[in-house]
Amino acid sequence: MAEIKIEKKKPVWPWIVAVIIILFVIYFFWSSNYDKRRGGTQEINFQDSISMSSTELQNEATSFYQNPNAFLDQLQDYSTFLSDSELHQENTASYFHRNALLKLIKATREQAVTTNIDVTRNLEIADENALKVTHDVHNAAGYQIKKAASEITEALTKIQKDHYEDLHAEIKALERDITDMNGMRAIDEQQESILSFHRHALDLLQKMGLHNPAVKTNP
Amino acid sequence: MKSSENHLHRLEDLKDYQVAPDNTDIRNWNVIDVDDRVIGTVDSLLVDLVTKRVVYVDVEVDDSIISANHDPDSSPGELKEFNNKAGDTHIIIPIGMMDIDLSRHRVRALGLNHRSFSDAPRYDRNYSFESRV
Repeated sequence: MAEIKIEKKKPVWPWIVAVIIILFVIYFFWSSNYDKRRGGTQEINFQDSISMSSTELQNEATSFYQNPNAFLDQLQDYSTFLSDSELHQENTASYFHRNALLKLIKATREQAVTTNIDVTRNLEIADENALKVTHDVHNAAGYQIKKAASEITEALTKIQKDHYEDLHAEIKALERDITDMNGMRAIDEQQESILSFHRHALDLLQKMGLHNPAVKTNP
Repeated sequence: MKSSENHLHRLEDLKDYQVAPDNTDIRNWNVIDVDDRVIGTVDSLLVDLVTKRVVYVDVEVDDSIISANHDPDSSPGELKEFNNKAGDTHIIIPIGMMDIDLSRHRVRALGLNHRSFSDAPRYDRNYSFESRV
């Protein structure tokens, strides 16, 4: 004698919701690691150390008297990063451009402190835009690099006009590089203009460093 | 009497119900009589929602059953308890009279032979089964 029981079907929607949640969690972790995969954790740490508040800027200004070689240290850091990046091509474009700008900003800031020129606002804007290069790598990175480069150049121009009149040509070279940059284009398509800007910026800072009082007093 | 009143429903009409996982869905399985003759196929399961069990099996009978019951020599005035009409191809069998053969995927009707089926009252699938039940 047969017996067949029936039962109410279990609703499917909790499973659908669970699958959607799992997919969302996977996507969340994937997207949060996306920048790390492109740039590595090192650049995140660097971002934290370079992004400074006004108080920190003030502290840095006073630190000059404790470490008069701060500018040269930053210049060396910037120079080393540029030359290392040429050797290590595996670095992604966003990693390189962001960190190169941040190191240039830091070197410029030290030079401004050394020469007692107020370029705080320029470098703050440059900082903000440089930090966005990673966060917005697909959309407006070209614009942000150009904006940061423009602000840095403006800051360097203020320093140059006040202390290094003979370096006018170097400032012009930077301005030409910025003119060559196109904020609407992807950074991969204008690598040469950006690299040229960094080479000229390094050249300018090195020449400024030759006349830096800190160099003379602290060989 | 409406099916909702006697709690009897075709399982396929109940979208929220299914055969319990540890039970066998015998729909489309062959139905055989005590002599191992195929007498039809399980078309539907009639279930009681109160007891949550299959109560009857709706069998679509084989052509041999229909033709066996057709008696062209019977006189028009002969009294019969019922008259199967053309299109009456379904039989309702209590689940208690069935035995499930899991290995051969078929259902055996206990104590019923070919003649029992050919003599049984049938109904049209397109009409209500409840009058038969």
